[in-house]
Amino acid sequence: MPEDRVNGDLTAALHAASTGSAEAEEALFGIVYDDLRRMAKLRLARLQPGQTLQATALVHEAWLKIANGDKDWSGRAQFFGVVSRAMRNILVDDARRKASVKHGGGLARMSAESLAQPEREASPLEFLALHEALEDLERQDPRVAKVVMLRYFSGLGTGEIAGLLDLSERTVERDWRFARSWLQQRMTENGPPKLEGQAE
Amino acid sequence: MNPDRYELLKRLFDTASTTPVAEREAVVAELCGGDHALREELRRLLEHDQHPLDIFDAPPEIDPDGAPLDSVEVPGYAIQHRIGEGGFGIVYAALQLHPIRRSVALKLIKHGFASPTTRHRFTIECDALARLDHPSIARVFDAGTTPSGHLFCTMELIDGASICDYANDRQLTATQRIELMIPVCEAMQHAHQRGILHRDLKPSNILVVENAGKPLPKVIDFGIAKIRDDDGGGTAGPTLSGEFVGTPVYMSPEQADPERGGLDTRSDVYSLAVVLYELLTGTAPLQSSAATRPSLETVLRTLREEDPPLASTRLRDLGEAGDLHARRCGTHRDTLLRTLRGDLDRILAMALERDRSRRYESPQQLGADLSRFLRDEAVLARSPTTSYLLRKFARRHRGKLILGATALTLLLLGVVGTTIGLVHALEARRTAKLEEERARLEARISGEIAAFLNEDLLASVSPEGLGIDVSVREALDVAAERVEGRFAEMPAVEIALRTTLGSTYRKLGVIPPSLRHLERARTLAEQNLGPDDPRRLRAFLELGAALYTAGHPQESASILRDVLRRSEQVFGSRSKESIAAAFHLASAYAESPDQRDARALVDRWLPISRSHLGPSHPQTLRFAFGLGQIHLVERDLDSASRVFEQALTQARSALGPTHRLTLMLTNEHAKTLRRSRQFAAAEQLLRNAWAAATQRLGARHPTTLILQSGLLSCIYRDPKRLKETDALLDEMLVAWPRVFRADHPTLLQFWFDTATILERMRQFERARELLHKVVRALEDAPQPLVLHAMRSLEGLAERTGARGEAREWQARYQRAAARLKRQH
Repeated sequence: MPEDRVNGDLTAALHAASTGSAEAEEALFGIVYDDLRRMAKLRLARLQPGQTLQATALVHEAWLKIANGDKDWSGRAQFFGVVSRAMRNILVDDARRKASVKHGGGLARMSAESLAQPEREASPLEFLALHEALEDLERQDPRVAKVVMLRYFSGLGTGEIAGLLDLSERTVERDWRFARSWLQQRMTENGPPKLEGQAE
Repeated sequence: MNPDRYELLKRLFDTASTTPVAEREAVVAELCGGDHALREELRRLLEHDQHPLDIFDAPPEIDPDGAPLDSVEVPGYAIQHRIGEGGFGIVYAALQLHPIRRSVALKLIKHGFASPTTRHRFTIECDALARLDHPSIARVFDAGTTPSGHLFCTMELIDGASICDYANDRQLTATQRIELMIPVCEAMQHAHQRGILHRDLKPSNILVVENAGKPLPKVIDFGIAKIRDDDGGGTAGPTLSGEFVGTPVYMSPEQADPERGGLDTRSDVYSLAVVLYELLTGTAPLQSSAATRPSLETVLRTLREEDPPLASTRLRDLGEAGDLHARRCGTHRDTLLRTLRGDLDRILAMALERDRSRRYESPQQLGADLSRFLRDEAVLARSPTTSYLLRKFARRHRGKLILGATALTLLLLGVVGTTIGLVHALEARRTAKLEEERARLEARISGEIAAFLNEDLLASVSPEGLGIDVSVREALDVAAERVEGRFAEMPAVEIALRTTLGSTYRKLGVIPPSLRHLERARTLAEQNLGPDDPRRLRAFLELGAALYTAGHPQESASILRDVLRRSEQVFGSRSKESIAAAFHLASAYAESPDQRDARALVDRWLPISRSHLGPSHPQTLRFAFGLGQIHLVERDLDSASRVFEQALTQARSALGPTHRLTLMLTNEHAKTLRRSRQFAAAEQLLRNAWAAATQRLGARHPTTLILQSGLLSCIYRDPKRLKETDALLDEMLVAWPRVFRADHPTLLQFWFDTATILERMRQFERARELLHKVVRALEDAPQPLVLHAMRSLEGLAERTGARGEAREWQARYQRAAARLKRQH
């Protein structure tokens, strides 16, 4: 698909999504997901050994591409909402794949210490545990979960999040602080994350 | 955790976490009181707050060396290659290994989407889909989970092109495109009856394969279809990732606007209509122009508020893209426009209603209406007015119309009969003293009958379409007879009928009955209608045109001047009625040696016609034709050539190379070239047109013959091509009478032109023979051509020394001329 076509679809889908329609947003989601994937592939191909690609940098780049320099553009909220979700899915994809490769897909060989092992990069299992805890939080408190999504997957600052969600900066800061602890507690309680094919 | 407790915990956390660490313990104890569980929970959260995991601090990174999804193994299948990828899954061509070996499409759902809810839904969906059994739905075979935890399902592998690509590649006609959509509608009906909506119908999800040489559409990718909920008709619900995706352009308004409620079968109807719209116009209904990025307002408005333009309006406004699309449909834009206008516009508009309660209820209804359209039956999408039903009747019988006069006669009788039926109904009303309603009804009937006869019945047999040399005339004669005396009570109806009959006789080149009907219409109109009544103006316009054709330009002009003046007031100075009046008046003026009046009219009205009817509208092209003629009379060959050339380009692209007007312009242009002695260029022009006509219409088609006669004019002067000329002449003299009736005006003109050529080639005897034919055919119906023929015969006799014969022709000429004059 040529670049401008992708952008055209993306723009149209973004506008459609700004009607607040869940389904239009899903359409947008599909496009954003593909777009991020494609961008990631391009960037990764050019990385030097040892270099890493931050997800939030990718989101930032996608934003520059779509907003065309218009900082006050009204599609912001939809865009970052959807892009956070898409990025989360990409990371979950990666983590699940790595987890299943490293561990043969089995829970049996998963070691408990991997949760505690400090790494520069979060371990796939830890990330998946976070993902599951976040699903719990979404059910419990969607607003706080949104703050987490925007901060963690889109890399937005407190001020930006407050603007997008129409909250005070203090609320955003408090939400994040609480969420972090709540999620961490949840991750401990939930135990090791489920891998596909094993659950249920 | 119950919401109240969660809220409480969060509030306490907010308070406690902002107190200095040293005082926290005391604060927690105070806040939680005797609730030990709460106190324990709060304490743990505060502990985490002081020692957060690294994962919260570092932004997540994308791993450069993860295994691609392609490496996933699916037991029992050998994955061959990737076919496509979307936001939710990847589709592969795969070989099923057991229980049977067959090629399948294997869809692998991406990991991030496989939440337990998704997986549950996925399983249910696949079960439902596997139960669908329709030739136009890709079968679902199997579903499951791979060892690595990926969801997958397998489907019939369709090796086909998207419906739009297929139609365009094969240059399917509009009819074939509609035929292709009917099984798709049936397939969707089948799915809906089993509670399955597609929700993402679009061209790339409707593939076409060929089965025994016939195209068979296959709907694929019910992957995001959702089992229709019983409550609320299937709202999207919480949007867990992976449940649904639609494609904005093909989405129904309710899909783009959750406030309209959930989706139902009518949402698929909408998407089906979008696909059909794209098949027929080459564009989706709400597609924004590719060149501009739409503003937020624009997109919101189009998605939620704006009705899509009628298909024909879209095609009309498309410019070159429209021409291109028409070519892909194997036709020209104007032809395609005519197909779209009316029923198809209505059907699509009904299926694309934003308010779904006004849409077709089901795909079956849409498909049924499309079938009715193909059979020329009345469609649901239109309210049945009399003229509409009559029109349908005419279309259904068009094949027979072309075959012969009998059906046409029956049809005209049918029309007249219908009218009589209406008259009787009217009588009953009259006794009820509903005079006012009677007048209104009468006006409506006359309008509808006129529209029906003009636009449908007679348009299909008018000489502008050429090639239909059925005994239209006989049929007309029979019908005309029936009009006599039947409408004494309804002058408005009689005026409308006679105007139409007169106009048709004129277009067929049969002048006496044309004048008779139109004169009668004039008398009735003068007695019954006010001077500005539109029906009176139409009758007078036709009379003016007929008088001109009959060779009475001055009388024609005096009537048409008045018609034009009144038309500008009644219909407006940009109306097609005024433009038509101006055209005929200009034609009448052009008969006088002084071209200034004609020139002034053309200079004023050609631009109006161009801007209000369009540069390639037949009326505009006729004006251009007239302007070229004026230039020819003024001996301005360069201007004439330029005008003809431009008009010819328009006509070719808009009407096609074999349309009567294109042909006339080709002939005139060639004539102009010949007059400026560019014989080779003229010949080239005609040869190309002739080749196209031979190929598209056949060697014996009237159009082909007329082009051939132009070729004759190009070569007969060249002594080196004498043999060629003779051969061509022989061929044509045999072919023409086989194609045209003995008194067909085109044949008579051909005899006359060929006689002129023969005379120049000094083949006097053959020339005389042809001129005699003209005279014989027109003896009882004098018109300008017969006078020309008599003059030529007189000249021929002079040249061959037959003085007596020459004098005889001179006398006959004077008698005929006097008679022609006496008629008016």
